Amino acid sequence: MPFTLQEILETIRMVEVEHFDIRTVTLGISLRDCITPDPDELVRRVLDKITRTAARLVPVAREVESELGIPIINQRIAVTPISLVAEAAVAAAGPGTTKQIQVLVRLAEALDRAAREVGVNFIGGYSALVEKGLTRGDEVFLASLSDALAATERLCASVNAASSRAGINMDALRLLAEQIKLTAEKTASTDGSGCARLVVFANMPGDNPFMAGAVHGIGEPEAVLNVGISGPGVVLEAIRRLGPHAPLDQVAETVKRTAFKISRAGELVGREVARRLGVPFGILDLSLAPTPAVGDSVAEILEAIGVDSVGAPGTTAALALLIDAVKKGGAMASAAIGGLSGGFVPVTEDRGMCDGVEKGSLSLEKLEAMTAVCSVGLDMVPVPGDIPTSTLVGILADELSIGVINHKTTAVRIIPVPGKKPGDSVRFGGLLGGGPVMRVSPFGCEVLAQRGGRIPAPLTSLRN
Amino acid sequence: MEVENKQTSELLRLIGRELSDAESGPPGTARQADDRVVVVVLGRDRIGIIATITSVLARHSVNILDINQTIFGELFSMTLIGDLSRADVPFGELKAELVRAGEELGVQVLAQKEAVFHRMHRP
Repeated sequence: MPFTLQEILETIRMVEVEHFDIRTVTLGISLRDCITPDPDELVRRVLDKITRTAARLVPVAREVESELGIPIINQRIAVTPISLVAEAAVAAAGPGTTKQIQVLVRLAEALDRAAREVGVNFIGGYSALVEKGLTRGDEVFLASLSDALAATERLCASVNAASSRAGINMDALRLLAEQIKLTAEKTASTDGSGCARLVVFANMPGDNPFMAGAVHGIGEPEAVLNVGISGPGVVLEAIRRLGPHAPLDQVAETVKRTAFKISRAGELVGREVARRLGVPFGILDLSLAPTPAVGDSVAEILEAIGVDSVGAPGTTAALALLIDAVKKGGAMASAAIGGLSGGFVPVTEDRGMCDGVEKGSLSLEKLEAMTAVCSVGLDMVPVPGDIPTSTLVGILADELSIGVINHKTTAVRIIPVPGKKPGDSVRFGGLLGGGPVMRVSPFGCEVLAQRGGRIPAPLTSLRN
Repeated sequence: MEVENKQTSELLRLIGRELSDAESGPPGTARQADDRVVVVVLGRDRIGIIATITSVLARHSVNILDINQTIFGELFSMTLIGDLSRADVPFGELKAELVRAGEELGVQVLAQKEAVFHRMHRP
């Protein structure tokens, strides 16, 4: 027998009991060849290209899932940032912002329809890259975000508003904070859930397969298949089996070995889906991505490492150990590691994180500290709907500055829930979950927020 | 591989070559693993488990390459590796049929392509 019974049972236990899964196979599609100033022709070309390229994505994923016995939870699509694809059409529709926004919203609806037609639950790439400054097209694009998100269900938007090479575009953050509030208001009937499809980034990767931040980056090929694998449950059980007295280097080693194994299996699945679709395999993103299911929580891993409740002293250290070990295991397993590769600490998507907020161990400030050592940032954070726009600008700028200074990706996905106060609970449903509204500092930053301009790029030497 | 009328030394050489071929190469090149299935049966021991499961495989022209059975007290466990290259049904159907046979026996049957185990445990 080429495998021991123990090895065979370990693999089966990971899938059957510990929720090991391929979280997403994301097909990146370039829309650069669809660019035209004619808005009708643009919509036609975009619809045609996506439905043609992604026609077999869902059936092929189902096929591979059944053959290899590893669940593929989501199939998704990422496209070239739409601000670039639509810029010529937006310019031709002007002057007059309302008419120009209509061009973008029509395109957003077309993307949503394409996603529905090929059967994917999210399509990413309603995006702009504005870390250094805004073109006229970018300004209209940012102004279109709330309308585009309110008019769609599956469309995901993301904006890169900062980078370690350009600094932080504070003018863009002001516009984005306004759009986040407007999106929440326009989707108030579902607790502002439109904001769950809008991410503001520093150092946005062009090959991240995870939503809502997936885009098909500028340097990417015609089409590419990226894979996001997950498995907080597998890591959690491996740590629990170690017991409470194993030293931390042994904990790190266990996480690394586990990450290695799930990365190996994930790459196999990704390459097989790519081969059958006839597109190149891009990257493998091993990120511990929790779901609202019990036992599928990153917070529980931190508690298994040894903090009483997520957010307690020791949490940032435990998270740093965890994420670093995951990256090491993944990088040793595959030469194709990319995307975000680390771990997410979203609030509403992680049962343990919600418990931490409810118990009072996890505050927004502690969460921000945690994001300094993990991807991807303040994620799925519900806050009171009456949060001042300037305070939102401050929260965005704080989080992005962590990414800019530390040369890493950080992002904010925050939901100012209309009519809700701290401690109230929200429910988005599905993978987006639900949870308690977090308390925001009553102290503001109106002066900082109204200054605008750009926070310069950081020095890369003298790093202490 | 031609094995009729071979001397022991020749057979040993051939097996040696097959063994080194089976070692995994770069991703996607585990040539044999792609076409093999690992079947695991777990449950309460009773007469006829192996007979039932292997007859499903035989009916669909799946050759058994390796089989291993252990009893822990009353717990029955069997792992088996089958060659799918001549199977007459798609993998999904074979798997469903094995699971159904297991349900009738009151045991759990899991079937997964061998490639997954190769990638995880034989880097």
